[in-house]
Amino acid sequence: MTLNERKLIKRSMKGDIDAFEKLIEAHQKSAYNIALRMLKNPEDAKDVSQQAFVKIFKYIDTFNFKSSFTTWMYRIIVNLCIDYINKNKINNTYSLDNPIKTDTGEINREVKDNTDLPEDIVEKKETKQIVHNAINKLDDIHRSIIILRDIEDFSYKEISEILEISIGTVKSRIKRGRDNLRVILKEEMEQNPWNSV
Amino acid sequence: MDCNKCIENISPYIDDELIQGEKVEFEKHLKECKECEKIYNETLKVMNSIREIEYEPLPDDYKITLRSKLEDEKEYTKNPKNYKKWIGLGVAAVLIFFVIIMPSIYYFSNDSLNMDSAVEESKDMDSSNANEPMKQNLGNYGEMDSIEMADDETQDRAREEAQIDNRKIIKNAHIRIEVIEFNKTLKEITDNINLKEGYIQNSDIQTINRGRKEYKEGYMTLRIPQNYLEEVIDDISAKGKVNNLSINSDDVTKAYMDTEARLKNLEVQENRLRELIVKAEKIEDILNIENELRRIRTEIEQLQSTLKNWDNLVSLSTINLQLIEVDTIDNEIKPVDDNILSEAKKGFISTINNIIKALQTIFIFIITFSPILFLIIIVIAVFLWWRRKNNIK
Repeated sequence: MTLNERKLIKRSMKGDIDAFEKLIEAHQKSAYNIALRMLKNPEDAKDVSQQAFVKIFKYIDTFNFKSSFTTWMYRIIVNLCIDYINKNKINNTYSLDNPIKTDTGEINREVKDNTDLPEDIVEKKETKQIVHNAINKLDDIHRSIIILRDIEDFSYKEISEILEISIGTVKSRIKRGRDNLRVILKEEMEQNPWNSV
Repeated sequence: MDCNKCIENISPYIDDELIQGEKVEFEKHLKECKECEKIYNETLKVMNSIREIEYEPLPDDYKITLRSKLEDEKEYTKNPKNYKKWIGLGVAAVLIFFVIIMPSIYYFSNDSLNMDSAVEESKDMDSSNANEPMKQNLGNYGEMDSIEMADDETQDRAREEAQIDNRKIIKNAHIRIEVIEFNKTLKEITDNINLKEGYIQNSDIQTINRGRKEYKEGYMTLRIPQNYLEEVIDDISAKGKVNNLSINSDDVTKAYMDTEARLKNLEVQENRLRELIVKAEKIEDILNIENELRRIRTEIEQLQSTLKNWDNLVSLSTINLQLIEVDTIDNEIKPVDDNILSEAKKGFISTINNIIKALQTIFIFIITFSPILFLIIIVIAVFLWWRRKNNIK
């Protein structure tokens, strides 16, 4: 924890909103994107991420300076996202343990019309689209771990602190998450044969 | 390292979470095992493609809406939370306060009653002490000698009067009078009586608490020569408001006459016996006569005493006087009380004393009931904490 961070935290504890905004400024984008990836739509992502920040502000005086502030912060954010998901269960999940849902409409739901764009841009967009879809198809547990590891770049240790699980669990979840993704991506590619991913 | 273990280590290797030894082993196996290498590469591709995902930018109004939400939160927490807490504590404090105040007032008023009557008792003792010297004087008056001396003179006069109107009348008066200036009135009456050759047979002066003030009351028995009785009664009546005045007369003339006659007879008898005794010769007779003489003498003395007593009562009438001190007498308009300032001061001081007493009692009560208070406070604290915990959701 940097000295500056510590100062900002202390001021936030006293109710200084400006200090708090500075404190979370670097993390706002991450928080929003985590929520976006987990909840899959921008409105929910905005609501939940802001809710998380308000909650962090409300309970900042319970922060005991013993753990890392960012870990503590992201724990609240991720937990709030998980709670939100559990409240409004979105059934669009895929897991090696579950039967595959073949619903053409859903797979294609975020595909944009790209017939007028140059091929390489189209390719890149297509790739991105495929990856988006693939992640969205993961079930919540694996999706969250992939988000934290591959998008947010948290270390295993940090992930274990945020999700409050053991490092062994982190490892196994990452492995399964990536394995699932591999399978999903293979399927996606089979459906879009002109992509060479 | 076998393939299973190798596959398990793919992700940690990619994420740089393997220790050096494991790393080396892994890389070695990978060179040798095509299957594992394939899986490794695929996993690597997956990871990379995910990594290429760009961040979505924040919506335009994100920061603004977040700010307003934070401000709402701040207002909400800083006010109702404390507000509720203080309301809860305030209500609890008021309840506890009342629980203490009620019994303390009860105790306090009992104590003050005790205090008042204690004052009364001490004042009584004071006034009776003050009366001692006076009573001594009365005691002197009470001795037979002086009465006889006074009585001799008055007896002569009484006989003259009795001869004049030939009646023996014992007069008694009862007066109850309210006065404003007790001591002054008392002195005036006493002087008057002494002047008129009477005396105070009995005097009993008390101080009584009526309301918040003290008042004197005097109960006296006055003896006044009969002929001055009317005058003295008028004098006394003029000094205040008469509640009660009664005069009654006892006519003992007949009884007096009878007794006198009987006495004369006995005296004659006595003389005759005395003559007889001189003439007597036999011892037996002498003894008999002496017995008779003794008996007659005793009776004579009794009758004489009775007559004397009547003489006394007739010559000196008795006034039973009740002198009551009051603040005002209704049939006049009183000027403003001169003592108003000192009364106010007294009242003020007594209130201060009462407040001090009340505080002391409250303090004692708090200590007495502190275990209960302690428990109540704990219960309230637990309740507030529990509520706070629930609100955190």
